[in-house]
Amino acid sequence: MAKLKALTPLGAYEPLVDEFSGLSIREVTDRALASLAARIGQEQACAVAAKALLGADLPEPQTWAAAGDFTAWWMGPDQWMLDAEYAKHTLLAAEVKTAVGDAASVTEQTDGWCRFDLEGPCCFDVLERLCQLDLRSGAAGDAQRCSLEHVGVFLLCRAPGQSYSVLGPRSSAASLHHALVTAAGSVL
Amino acid sequence: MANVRILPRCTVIGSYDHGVYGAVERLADHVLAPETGKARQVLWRIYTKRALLCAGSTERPIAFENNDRPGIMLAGSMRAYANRWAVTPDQRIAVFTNNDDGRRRAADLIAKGVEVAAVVDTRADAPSVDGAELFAGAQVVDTKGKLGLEWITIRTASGVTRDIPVGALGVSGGWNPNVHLTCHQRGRPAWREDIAAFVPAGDIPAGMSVAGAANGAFSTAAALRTGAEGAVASLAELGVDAKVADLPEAEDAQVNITPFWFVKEGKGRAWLDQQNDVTVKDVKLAHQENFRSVEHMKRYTTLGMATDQGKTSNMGGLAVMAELAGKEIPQVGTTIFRPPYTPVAMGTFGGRSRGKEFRPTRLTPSHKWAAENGATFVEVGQWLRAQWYEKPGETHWRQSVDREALATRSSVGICDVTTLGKIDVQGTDAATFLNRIYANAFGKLAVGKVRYGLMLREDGICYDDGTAARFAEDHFVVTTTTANAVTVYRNMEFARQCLWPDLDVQIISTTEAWAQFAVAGPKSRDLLRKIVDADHDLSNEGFPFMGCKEITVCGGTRARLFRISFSGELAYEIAVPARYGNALMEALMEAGEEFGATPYGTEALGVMRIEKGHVTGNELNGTTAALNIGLGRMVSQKKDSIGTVNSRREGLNTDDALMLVGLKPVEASEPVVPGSHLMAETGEVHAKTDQGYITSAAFSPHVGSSIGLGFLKNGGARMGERLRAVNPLQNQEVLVEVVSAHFIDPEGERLRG
Repeated sequence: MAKLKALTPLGAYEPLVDEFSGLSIREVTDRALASLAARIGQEQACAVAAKALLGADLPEPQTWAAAGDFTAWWMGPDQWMLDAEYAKHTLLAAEVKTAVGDAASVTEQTDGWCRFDLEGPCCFDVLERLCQLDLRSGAAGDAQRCSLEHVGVFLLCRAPGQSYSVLGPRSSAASLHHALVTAAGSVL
Repeated sequence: MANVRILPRCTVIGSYDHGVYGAVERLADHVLAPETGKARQVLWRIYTKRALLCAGSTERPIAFENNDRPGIMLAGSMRAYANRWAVTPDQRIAVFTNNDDGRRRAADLIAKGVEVAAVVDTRADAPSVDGAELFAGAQVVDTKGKLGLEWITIRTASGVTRDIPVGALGVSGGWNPNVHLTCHQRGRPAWREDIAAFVPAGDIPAGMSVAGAANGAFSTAAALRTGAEGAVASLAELGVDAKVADLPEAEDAQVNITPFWFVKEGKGRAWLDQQNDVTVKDVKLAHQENFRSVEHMKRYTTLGMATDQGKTSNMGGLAVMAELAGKEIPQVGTTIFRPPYTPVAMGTFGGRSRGKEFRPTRLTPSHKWAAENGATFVEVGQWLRAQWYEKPGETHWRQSVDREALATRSSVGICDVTTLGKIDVQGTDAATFLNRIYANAFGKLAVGKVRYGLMLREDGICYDDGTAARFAEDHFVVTTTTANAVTVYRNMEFARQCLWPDLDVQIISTTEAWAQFAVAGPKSRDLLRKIVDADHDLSNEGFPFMGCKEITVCGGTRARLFRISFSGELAYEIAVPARYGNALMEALMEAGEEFGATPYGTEALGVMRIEKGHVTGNELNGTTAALNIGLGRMVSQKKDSIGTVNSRREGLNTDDALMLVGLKPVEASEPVVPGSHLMAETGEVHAKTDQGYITSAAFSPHVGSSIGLGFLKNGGARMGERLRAVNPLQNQEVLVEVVSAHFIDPEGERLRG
């Protein structure tokens, strides 16, 4: 039997890039994701084990942090999303589980999400048409949950006004992408 | 200043809690040929710590007979046209006023070279106007003209009438501060006698202050001064030091108004609200009909509604009502102000979405394949699912559906079932947790096994069903119905955080992460053997009914395999990471070619589950308990779980309780119609003789007739009985026979084979 060929969340074989004057919207499909949730009474052990793996402390609420191969962001009390390059960490969940053992529950999330990276000087102008977050007063390292055109997303700020990642549910990738390019086309 | 953003052509339409304002920016309405793809308007939500309202004021008219003739307008508008655009409605005009501002309008127009034939001032002591004849203590009592204003009739202070030929009349009855935004949170303005107007007062929205004409400071100088002072004060409250800049010199005259609202003379129509066609007489009628509260008067007459929002008309109406009631205007009071302040197109609230964009869609992992292979899609919540796959030559959906169902039962069918909710449940107390969530026991479920489970509401009613697969001692994957994926997840999260915070359990949704397919039918194992990598045992002994395990397919792709069946056939559900879902569908179809593998949609899925007697949302309809669907004994009495106690309620356990039964027509050609009620073969058709109702029905190609599921009183003991299925809405009566709900394989041999 032939090997199965992967599709992107937008249903193509290659990620899509949309260019606007002052903004590019790039579909990102080369990341692996795993959720990490500390078990009861194991919060400290989870933090220690995660730090050993990630090379940095697990981030505080509403923030993300990166070190080495890994990026992590806070999702809820004692709960984080971990992110790494897919080719290098295809089995990220298993890798994390090995690192944290019984201190935490780990669930593969790689294909649960789609991601679009927004880059360029016009990020504020486009994102303020789409979500309610006060991005103009935000800082690099913010990781927030919000509704973007009726789709629940994570919004990671990499450089205020310049660079953001939007992660939404994979099944709604087409709707999310449509919202992003429609708003960008309207503003730019 | 880089940190200040100016929004031109933008109107604040509402003031909401916590300093939030709504505003509409008009981006392209003034553009002759707007660019496609660009927004016409933007609806902004503005969060503020402090806001300074400088909304200005609106001039108000004076009502008099036949004041709706073209050419009669507010004096302020007339002046604006002359000063800003050098336009006048006529070269010969008159002004009707009760205040000094009206006189100033006249002076401006004279300065522009317009002939002002008369200044009609209701005040006996009105000061004179250079260049115009003044009629102090006079009123405009009527107008004439064929297609527009040609004459005004005035009654002078001495009581004589006089006709004056003019082509336009500017009316100025004073100014209403635009207090609306100060009142959107139920604030009430206060009456200021000196300017005969309501001004902001009392509980205005938090963080707001008001300057200029909106606060009753009408002159240009006062507007500049109070605006600057207000800004400095607001900044000071935010801890920013600022001082008032040097203000330019500006006019600083008083309005000097003597209130005059409507001319009492004349029997013709004197319009108060030209937008809603409300006259002085209409307000009198409202009073006569006892609609005397200002809120009632407004609704009886429509005064000040909609586009007007009371801006020009309300004061006139209040004045008429006050006079009729023998009260002062402040005693009559104002109506409640509500957003939006100006009319807003519904499209502005709708935003950029058009047609089907109004809500996001969710696409299954094999959507691309389905779209390329003749699928008709159906909305299931936000999901688009294949309903059936039309083949060349098929002219009716039933042909496609019958073919899909028959092919599955005779060989093998494939259905994308990704939409079912998947919840990853982990933790040392995961089994205890599920034991409390499900009505039946889960504590002792072996690793590598799947169990069907029922979830009850607290009141004992059954609200969802699904399976839980145990992949490790501390790891389960729960599936829910498509419709209840979010509800079940939310209930679990509530239970975990609030009911039993002491349990060590972590949950997260994985619905989207895995593409899952039902592979059903007698040839399903043969098909899977061609896909699943060789080192995994698929034999009945090695992987029996209700088994689950992690496998690999197509040369190493990670997958999860479940031996579960919704169709009643030997069946599996196979899951791969979502990115491989479309390819897996292709691979299954390619490998299944020799078996005639057939993709099936939700319609055939429904046919087969009715044939098997499996319940869905139609049966779990919010009124049925486990007992009613024939699964009463599944509710374990050896443990406590959500809803167990209430499922023992007397009312849910009567001897004649509604029980799930199968139904088929006595005449095979007749339909079973869902929603029909079940009545005795003869006798009255009435709610009191009602014996049950039909929840689901389909044409069963297997049985060769329409079949249905329904609830019948004491149904378990009534097999073979004949009943009428009545549908009074369409005058339909079908004789049906009560049969087992399991139309195929009641012993369950196929799915265990």
